[in-house]
Amino acid sequence: MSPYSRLIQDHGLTIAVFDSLPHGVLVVDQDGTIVLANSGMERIFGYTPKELVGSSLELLIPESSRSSHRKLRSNYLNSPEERIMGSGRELNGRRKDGEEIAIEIGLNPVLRSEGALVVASVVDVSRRRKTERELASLHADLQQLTYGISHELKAPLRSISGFVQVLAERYSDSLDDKAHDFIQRSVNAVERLQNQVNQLLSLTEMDVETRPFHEVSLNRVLAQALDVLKPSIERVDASLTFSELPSVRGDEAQLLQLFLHLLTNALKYHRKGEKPQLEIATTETETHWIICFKDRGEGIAQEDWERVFKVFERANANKQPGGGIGLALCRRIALRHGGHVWVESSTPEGSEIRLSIGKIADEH
Amino acid sequence: MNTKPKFLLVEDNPDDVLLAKEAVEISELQLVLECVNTGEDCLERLTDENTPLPDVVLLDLRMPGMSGFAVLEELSKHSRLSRLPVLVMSSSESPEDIRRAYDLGCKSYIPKPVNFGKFIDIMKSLHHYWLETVILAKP
Repeated sequence: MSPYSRLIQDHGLTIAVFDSLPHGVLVVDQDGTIVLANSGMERIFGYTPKELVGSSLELLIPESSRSSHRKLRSNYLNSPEERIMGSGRELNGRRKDGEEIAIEIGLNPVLRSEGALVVASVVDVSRRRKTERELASLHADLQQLTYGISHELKAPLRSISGFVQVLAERYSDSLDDKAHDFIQRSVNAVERLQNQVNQLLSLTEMDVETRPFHEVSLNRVLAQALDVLKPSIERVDASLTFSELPSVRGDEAQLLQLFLHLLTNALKYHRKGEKPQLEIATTETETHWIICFKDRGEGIAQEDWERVFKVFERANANKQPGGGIGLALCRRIALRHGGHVWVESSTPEGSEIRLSIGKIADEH
Repeated sequence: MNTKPKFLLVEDNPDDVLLAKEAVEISELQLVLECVNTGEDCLERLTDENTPLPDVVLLDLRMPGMSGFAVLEELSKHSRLSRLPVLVMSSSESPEDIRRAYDLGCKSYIPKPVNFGKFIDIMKSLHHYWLETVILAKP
């Protein structure tokens, strides 16, 4: 008779509650023998609580992971602490019929005079893990598709633009001004399309390319961006003010891309007849740096605040040329850096776009 | 006898071939543009010892059958061809493709521009650099 039987008999109600829990719950002693199991365990593993009590825990562990599990269990008993469900590695269990199932386990040590016990709660996550795998594979397919389409689009674009320009070159004398204007418009349209294809490519390449993160000075990123944009800044005579920016962990090339997009937008969507003014400031929360881009542009209607971050969506669709992918790309980059980018506020007097980036771990 | 220098263009897309010919003609470049459409044809052409080698090879990467990468790999095996400058012209700008092409011995990696005017400029500068500025090894 187990030294715990008495304890269990004395707690009829507790056992009823215990059995009605949707999770499997298991109590194991320090030798790895199951001393208590609820009905939830039967639903997951196919063994009745009676079959489980007195058996070794290894009964529920696939053969391939038994020896590693033994090591993990002895490590755990040396420094027992609460382990939250889903916080560890992917785990598998073995059902009575031999089938392996994906499970998540939470652990709670109970120290008693009879010896240490461990309470394990078990959830069957087979369906979730299967869905996750399917989703990952679908995502990869979609990625491949977009990548393929973008590359396939480039060749015909080159042909259209090329032959139209050959026409203009070769038959220059027999074409009137109108014809030349039409040709120029075609060439411009192809170039716009080409830009969109390139941006679409960078959107899909982002998940494909996984460059490692390094410490990146946002001051340097901003300086590089301003250098690239110098001609356009001078052309529209924009005034810029900015304060010291932090260093973050990230992908410098992507962060530069992000800054370029946000700055270009601020320069592009300024009000007619006014010089663009842009202010870049930094604030912080406990976990994130927040970079604020304030412009005095024409503003974004509130119903468009989220829409502008979607692929091929744009506020002022008919007014301004542009990619329609840029802000979606910015959001993906921010997300990859543990942050976000959003419209904080916008009125006809100007907008504030905010970018958050996760702080370097040892800063908080 | 034709003494004009020669570029060998290896390109499967007939439009790109035609546009390259137009670019040479429109810009009145003093060079002969010879074209082959597959990697296999390129190797056959270059390994034929009875035909003089071109001065420069312009090589596309993505072609059905033998890819540009495979061509570069094969060329490095022939001592007669190892001094021949091969310039990659590709629509791919993936860092991995670029690195791989240089590792396999290409001398320049040129992204195919969409704009035909830019393409003409590139052809002019290739002509200026490879045929008027540097001295190539005699085969």
